[in-house]
Amino acid sequence: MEAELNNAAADRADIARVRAGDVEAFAAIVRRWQTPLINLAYRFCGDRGRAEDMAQEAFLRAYRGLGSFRGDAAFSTWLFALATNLYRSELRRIPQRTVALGDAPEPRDPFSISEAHELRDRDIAVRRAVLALPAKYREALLLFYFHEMDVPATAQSLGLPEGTVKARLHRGRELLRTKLPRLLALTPEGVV
Amino acid sequence: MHMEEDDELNTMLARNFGPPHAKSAHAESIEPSSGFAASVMERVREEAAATAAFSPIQFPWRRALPGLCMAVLAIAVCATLLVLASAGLMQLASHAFVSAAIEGPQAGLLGTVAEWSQTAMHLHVGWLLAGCLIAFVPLTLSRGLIGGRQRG
Repeated sequence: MEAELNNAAADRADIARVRAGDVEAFAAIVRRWQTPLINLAYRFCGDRGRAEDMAQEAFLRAYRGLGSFRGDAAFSTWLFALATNLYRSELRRIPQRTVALGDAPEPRDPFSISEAHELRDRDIAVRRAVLALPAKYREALLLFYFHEMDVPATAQSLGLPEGTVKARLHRGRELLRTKLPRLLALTPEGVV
Repeated sequence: MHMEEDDELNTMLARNFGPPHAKSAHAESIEPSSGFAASVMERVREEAAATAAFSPIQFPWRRALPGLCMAVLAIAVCATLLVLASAGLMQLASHAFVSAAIEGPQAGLLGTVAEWSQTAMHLHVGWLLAGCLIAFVPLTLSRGLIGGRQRG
């Protein structure tokens, strides 16, 4: 919480400097937000190189749009909304490589492999299943967990009402449950 | 059963899609490459330079001010002249109508011509025409110059 407040204060100071013509002040904003923005892009596209390209474009758009940032909300909220919008349109333009939801594999024989392999296998299956979801459910789920299960933050990033986000999260989870029934039946205790 | 599934699903999704700083986040959370910030700043500097280079040229108010003042003055003069001329013409028409009514059509016509010329002299119509011409010449010249520049 304290870190968030510090970030917000630092953002405000850097934005004021950039607006006053000090381009180099933008470097501090980039350093502060590069890891979250790249990771968000990575969760959207699953490709490290492309994630950096998309994050770079998001920073560039943020620089161009700083004049339109009114400061009603936190800079991070504005930045994530801008980045989300960009990532969504980028992935609509050139979709990431996904498998069809029906083809997303579950572990074939979870009991025959070691625990570490099992966990890895489960993670891969979950990621593939999420990436194979229809875009509107996938985006809602990705942002919801990226924002640490914060519905208002997810709604702000997507530019949607909270009710719509909740409905999409519910439907997205339903789809995942139908896709991953065996995986969900295996509690961590059950696997060992 | 459903609640347990939800918990398990939440845990798995949070591990795989949580923010990079979260304790539950998966190891695959990535760090930016070493040159990322520098590369972004390079593009930002290019953007800033391009914006500065192509910023709209300021309107040269200092140079344009005398011309604008002259134009305003010319318009004011023209408007005054037009008002005066129209007032004079109305006065002339009313005189002609009255004389025609009193002295018959022939006398009225001669009287009208005489009064027209008198009123014209009285209102300095020559000066009025000269004023209109003076206002018209710079307008035509400037339109010609603009047309020539656009063709060029």
